Amino acid sequence: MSTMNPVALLLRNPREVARRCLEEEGLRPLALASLGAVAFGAAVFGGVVGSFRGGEQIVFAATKVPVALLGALVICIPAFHAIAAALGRAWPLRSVIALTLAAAGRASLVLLASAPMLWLAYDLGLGYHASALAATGAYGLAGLAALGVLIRGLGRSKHAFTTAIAFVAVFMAAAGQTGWILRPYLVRPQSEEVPFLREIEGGFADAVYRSSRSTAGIYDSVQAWDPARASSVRARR
Amino acid sequence: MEATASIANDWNPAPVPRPGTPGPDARVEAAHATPTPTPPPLRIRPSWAQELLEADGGTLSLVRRTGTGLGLAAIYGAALGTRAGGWALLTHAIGVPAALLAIGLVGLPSLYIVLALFDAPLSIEGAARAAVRGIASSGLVLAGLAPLTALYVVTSASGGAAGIAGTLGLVIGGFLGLRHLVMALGEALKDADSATRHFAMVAQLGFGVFAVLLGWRIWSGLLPLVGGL
Repeated sequence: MSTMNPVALLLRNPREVARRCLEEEGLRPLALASLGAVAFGAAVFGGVVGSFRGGEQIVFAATKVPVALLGALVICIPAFHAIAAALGRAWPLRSVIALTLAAAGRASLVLLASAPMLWLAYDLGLGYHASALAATGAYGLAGLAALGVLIRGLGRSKHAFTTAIAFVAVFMAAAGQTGWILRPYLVRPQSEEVPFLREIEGGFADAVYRSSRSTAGIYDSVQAWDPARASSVRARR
Repeated sequence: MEATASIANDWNPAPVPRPGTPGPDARVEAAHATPTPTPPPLRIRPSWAQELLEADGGTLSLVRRTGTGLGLAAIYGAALGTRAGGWALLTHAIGVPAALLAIGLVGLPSLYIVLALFDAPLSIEGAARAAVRGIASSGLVLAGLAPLTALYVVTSASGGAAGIAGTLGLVIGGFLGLRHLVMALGEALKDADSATRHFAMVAQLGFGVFAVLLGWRIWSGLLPLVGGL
């Protein structure tokens, strides 16, 4: 059994992390380190994203990013457990929790590593949209790091790829909605008021619903700034 | 000149190895190399889900697992009902498992009769076990998706979007349950001859279409969130 520090283990040896999670070996230090990494790493990353606007938004974003991530994990774990079981990996729930937490911990450490670069980019005058893109890129890298743990946990046996795809889809659906509920994170510096939370105003499922209706020629809202389009929609109706 | 001819006669080139054939050095290395150690299999504790989805078990175990599967599906139903609250919680909690039960009770006996007509070696117990496995699998997946669905159902701005989220979960849960059921039937029929297996495959395909249509008919009729009642 490796005596490596749990944080170092998360970064350096995802295979060993996955093995420990599945065999329920030394889970306590690993889970604590993962939780700490999620709380600290995601908070620092959120604080940096909030620093684009500055002021109270730093605290707001530093609070909301870890909450959104942990909220998504809580929602994902039962789905991971059930999907893995239905696809031939009937692991104990404890193992699934440990594996998911370890993956999130590893992702948060990547977020922590990307925070200084993001902060420097903001400081050098990166624009709003480019900043959003840069933060998304950091999330993407973190996601890949998390996937490293999950894929090693799934192994190379039957349906590993399908299970991994299902895990990613479920996590994106959960994180997308929890993230949407808790927005804003990135606020323009010119904004005078910074709300802790915005009105819900739809979400991922609403976007799919609106798109499917639009495809069928049903437009639920007409944008006021485009009178030509509005009149064409009226004519079609 | 003579010396040249002698060299030409004595010249005996080393055999050229065919592509893909290891050379002598490689063969020596392979002979002395220690075999790559294969990692020991993981020691994973048997889980509750494994017990729920297993193929064997007595009558009591089958009844218990059916009840558990239906109960788990009811959790998903309750998640769908969270948008309206109140009675909708109960309506949806009854409606979701109702479709699973109907497919098991109505569809599977028909499939058993059709397979028996062609002398497929499927016993009543085997068909019942397959049905239980399908219901348990479906229930487990639906219960696992319940928190995610509740999140979408409660926080979506429009009812239509909430309906899409709820339907997606039903489709995934139903598909994985059906997959388990068909797999269990396939295991039960593995000793049949080739022609019977082919016929059974066609019959299972027909059963699959029937199960999808019946399930959707019941869900769309009973669940207000997906357009019922």
